[in-house]
Amino acid sequence: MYRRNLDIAVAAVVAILGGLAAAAHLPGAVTIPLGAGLFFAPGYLWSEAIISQRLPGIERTMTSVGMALILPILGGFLFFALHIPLLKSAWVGMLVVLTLLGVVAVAVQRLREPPADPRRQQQQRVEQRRQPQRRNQPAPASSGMKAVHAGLFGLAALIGIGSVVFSVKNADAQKFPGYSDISMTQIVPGAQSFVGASQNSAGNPQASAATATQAHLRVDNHESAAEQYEVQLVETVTATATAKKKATTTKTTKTYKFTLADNQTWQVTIPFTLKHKMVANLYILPDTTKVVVSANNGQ
Amino acid sequence: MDGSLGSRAAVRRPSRAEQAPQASVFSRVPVSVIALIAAVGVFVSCMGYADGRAGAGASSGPGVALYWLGQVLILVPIAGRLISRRPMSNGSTIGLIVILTVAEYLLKVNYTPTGFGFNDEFLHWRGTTNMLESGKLFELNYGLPIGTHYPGIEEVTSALISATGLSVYEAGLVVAGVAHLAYVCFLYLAFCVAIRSHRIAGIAVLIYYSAPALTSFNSMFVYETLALAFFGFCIVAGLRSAIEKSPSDRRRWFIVAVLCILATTITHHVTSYMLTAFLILVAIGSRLTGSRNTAMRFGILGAISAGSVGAWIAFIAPDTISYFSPTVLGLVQGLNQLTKSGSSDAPQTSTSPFLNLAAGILGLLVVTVLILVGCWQAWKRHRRHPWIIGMMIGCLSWLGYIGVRVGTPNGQEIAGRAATFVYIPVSVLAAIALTRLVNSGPVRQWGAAVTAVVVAAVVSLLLDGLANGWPPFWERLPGPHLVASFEASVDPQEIAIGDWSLQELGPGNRMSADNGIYPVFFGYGGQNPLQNISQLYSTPTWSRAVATYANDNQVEYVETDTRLTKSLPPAGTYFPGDTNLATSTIPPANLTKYNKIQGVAKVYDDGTIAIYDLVTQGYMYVPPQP
Repeated sequence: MYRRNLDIAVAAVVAILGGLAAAAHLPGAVTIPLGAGLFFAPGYLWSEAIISQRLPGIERTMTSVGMALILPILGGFLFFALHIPLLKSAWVGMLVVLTLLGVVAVAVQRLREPPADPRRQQQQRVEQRRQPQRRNQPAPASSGMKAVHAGLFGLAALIGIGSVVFSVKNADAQKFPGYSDISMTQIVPGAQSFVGASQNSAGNPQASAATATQAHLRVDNHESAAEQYEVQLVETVTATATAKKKATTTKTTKTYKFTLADNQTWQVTIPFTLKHKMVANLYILPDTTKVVVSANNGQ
Repeated sequence: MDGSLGSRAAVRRPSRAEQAPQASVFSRVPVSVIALIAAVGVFVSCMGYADGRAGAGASSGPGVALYWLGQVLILVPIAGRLISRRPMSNGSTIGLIVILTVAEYLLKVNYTPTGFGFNDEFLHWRGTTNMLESGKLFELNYGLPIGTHYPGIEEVTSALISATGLSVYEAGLVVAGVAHLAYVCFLYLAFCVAIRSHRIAGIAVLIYYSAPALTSFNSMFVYETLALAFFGFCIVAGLRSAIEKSPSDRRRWFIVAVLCILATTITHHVTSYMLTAFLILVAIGSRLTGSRNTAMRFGILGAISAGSVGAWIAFIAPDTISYFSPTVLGLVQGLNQLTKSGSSDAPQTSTSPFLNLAAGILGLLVVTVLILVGCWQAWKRHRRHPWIIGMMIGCLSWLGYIGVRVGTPNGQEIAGRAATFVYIPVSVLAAIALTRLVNSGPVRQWGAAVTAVVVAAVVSLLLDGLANGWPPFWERLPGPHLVASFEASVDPQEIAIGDWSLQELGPGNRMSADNGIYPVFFGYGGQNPLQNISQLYSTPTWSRAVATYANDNQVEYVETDTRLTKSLPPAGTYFPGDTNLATSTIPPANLTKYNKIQGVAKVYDDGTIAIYDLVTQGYMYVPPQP
C-alpha cells in the first residue's frame, strides 16, 4: 500500500517544494528542477486519476506529458474567465492547487479500486516466467550487456549535450562587422502609439511629441572593443535679420567625451526643440574630422 | 496483457505482409549503438554549421557536406534498423523514433543556439512576453494578430517560466521540444492501433519524417507545434475510447479526447480544423466498414470538435475568417487556373536549385506509387478495417497537395505546411505498400540487397523532405548576414536595434522595414511593422504619391539598410508582402531621400541601418501636385 501510493506523495512534495522555491526566488539550481517537477506533477496525477487503468511506462509518460500541457491551457482560460490576472503567482498557485487536487483525486480513485489479490499477482508472475521465448522476439540482454547499453546511451547523451555546448560557443564566437550607433529620440511622457487597427483610428496620439522639450541622446558601442567617443550637438538657428534677409547661426552647443566598453551604452537627457535644427554627430577619437554617424530632429 | 497499444499490436500474429524483409547490415545493431551513431551525426552536422558561421555560410562546400553527412549518419542506421528483418520490441521501435526526433530537434536548436532565429518564433516570443508582463490572455500581438486569439502555447510557456524561472527562449525550447516529441510518439501509438503492427507503425513514422515541415515548422516554438501534440493525443484517446473493453475505460478515454479537442481549439486554428476533419474521416471510415460503435464515438468527437471550433470563431476569434480568406481565395484561383490552362500564373518568389526540384518531383512520384500500391493492399487485405479505410479516403488529399504544391502562389510553403496533415494517411498507406513490396516473393529472392535498396530509397525520401523544407538551400547553414533573408538576416545588430526601438520609441509603432529586420521589430521590438510597403523604397525622391501612401498607411517610422543597395535578396523579395521577385538592387537614392525631407528626423543611425521618424516630431510633408 505504501509503495503503491509513494508516487502521489512524491508528486505532492515536489510540487509544494517547487511552489515554495518559485515564491522565494531561490537560485536556478534549485528552482529549475523543482519547478519542472511542479509543472509536470499535475499532468501525472490527473492522468492517473482520469485514466486509472494500468499503462506501460512509455504510454503513462506520454499521457502524463499530454495532460501536463493541457492543464495550464484550460486552467489559464478558467482564470481568465474568473478575472484572475495570469501573473507568476497565479501560475504557480494554479499548478500547486492542481497538484493537490490531483493527489486527492488519485487517492480517492485508488481507494475505490478493489484491492489486488496477492495470490493472483504471484500466479501471473510465475506464468510470465514460464512463458517460452517467442521465436521472433530478441533474447533479453544480460546485466553486463545492459550496463554496456546504458553506457552507450549515456555517451550518446553526452555527445548530444556537447553538440549544444559546441554550437553555443561557436555562435557566440561568430564574427560580425563592428559598428557604433547614435540615436536622438524625444521624451514624451504618457505618449502612446497607435493601438489596434490603426488604419481606422483618428489622428496620431503621439502628436504631442511635437511639443517635447527633452530628448534622449544615446550611443552604443558594438565595435568588439572599447572606444573613445565624442558627440557634438550642433544647433542651427535661423533668425529674421531684416524683412528680406534671414541670418543663420550654426554652433556646437554641447560636446560630450566618453569611453565605452564593447556592448556598453551611454545616454544623457538633453533639451530638445523642433523650432530649429539639431544634429548630433558621433566621432570615434582621435579622429574628430570624420562624422561616423549622426542623428537629427528633421528640421 | 497490459493495456498498452504496443501489446495490442503484438497480440495478432503478423500477416505475411507485415513480416520483415531479408537481413541487412543493420539488423543486429542494437538501439544503443544507433543512438551513439545518431549523436555523432548531430555533432558532425553541427561542425557543418560551425563551418558556415566561420564565413562562407550556405555556400561553404565542406560545411554543407558535413551537414548532409551528419544527416546520413542519423537517418541511415535508424531507417536500416526499422526496415531490417530482425524483430524489434515495441520499446525498441519507440526508442528509435525518439532518437530520430531528438536528433533532428537538436539540429534545429543548434542552428540558432543562443536565441530564437526563425520568424514565427519571434511572434510567440512577443506573445509570451506580453502575457507575462500584463497577466492577460488575449494581449495584442502586432506580428500575429490572429495568434492573439489562440494563446495556448503562451499559456503553457508562461506557466513553465513562472514555475522554473527560465527565460522565454529556454522555456520555449522545452515546450516546443516536449510537444514535438509527444506528437511523434502519439502518432506512433495511433499507427500501432491503426495498422496493428508496431513494425509497420515504425516504418510509417519514418516515412512521415519526409513531410517537409516536420523537422522545421513543427518543431519550432510556434502554436502549431503544441497543437499537434494535442492532435496526436486526441487520436490515441479517441482510438482507445473505441477499442477498450471496459465501458468505464472507454468513458475515461473519451473525456481525455474531449480535453484534447478543447486544448487544440484554444491553441491553433488549422490544427483544430484538421482534427475535426480527421475525426469525421475515421467516423466515415468506421461507418463504411460496419463498425458502428467506433463510428458513433468518432462522430460524437467530431461533432464536439466542430462545435468548439465554431464557438471559438464566433465568440473569441472572429478575425479567423478574414485571416484565411485571402489564402483560401488564392488557393482556389491558383487551382482553377491550373485546371483551365495546365499551368498556373502564380508569381514565383524564389527558385530552388535543380537538384532540389528534381528530388522533390521524384519524391512526389515515389510517394504517389506507394500510395497506389498501399490502397490496393488496403482494399485487398484490410477492407473491414475502419482506420485503414479512413486513411485511404484521407489519401485523396494527396491530389490536392500536389495541386497546391505545383499550381498556386507560394505553393511550396503552403504545401509544406499542409504536408503535416496530408502525410498522416499517406505514410500509413506507404508503409503498408513498402512492407508488402519488400516481402513479395520475387523481391525476397534478392535478400539483403533489396533491404539496402529500400533503405536507400526511404533515406532519399527523408533527405528530400529536409532539402525542400526549412531552412531553404540558401541558408542551409548559419553564416554571415544575407540581405532581407529571414533567419540569415537576424544578427546581433538587428536584435540590438529591436531592443533599442522598444526602449526608446515604445511599443506598437507602425514601421516599414525590410524582410530581414521585420521579425525582430515585432518580436523583440514589440513594434507594428507593416506589409506591402515597398512603394516607400521605390522612388529616388519624396514624391506626392509616396507621401500620400505613407500618410494613408499611417507609417510612423521608416527603416533603411544600405545593404539593400548592394545585393539581391536570396529569398527573392526585399519587403514583407512582396510577391514579385526582385530583379535589381535598390538604388541608394531610394533610401537616402529620407535625409532630405523637411520634418523627417533621423532618430537612429549606425552607418548601415537608419530609422527615420516621419510624423511624431512634427508633420509629414506632402509635396504639392505638379
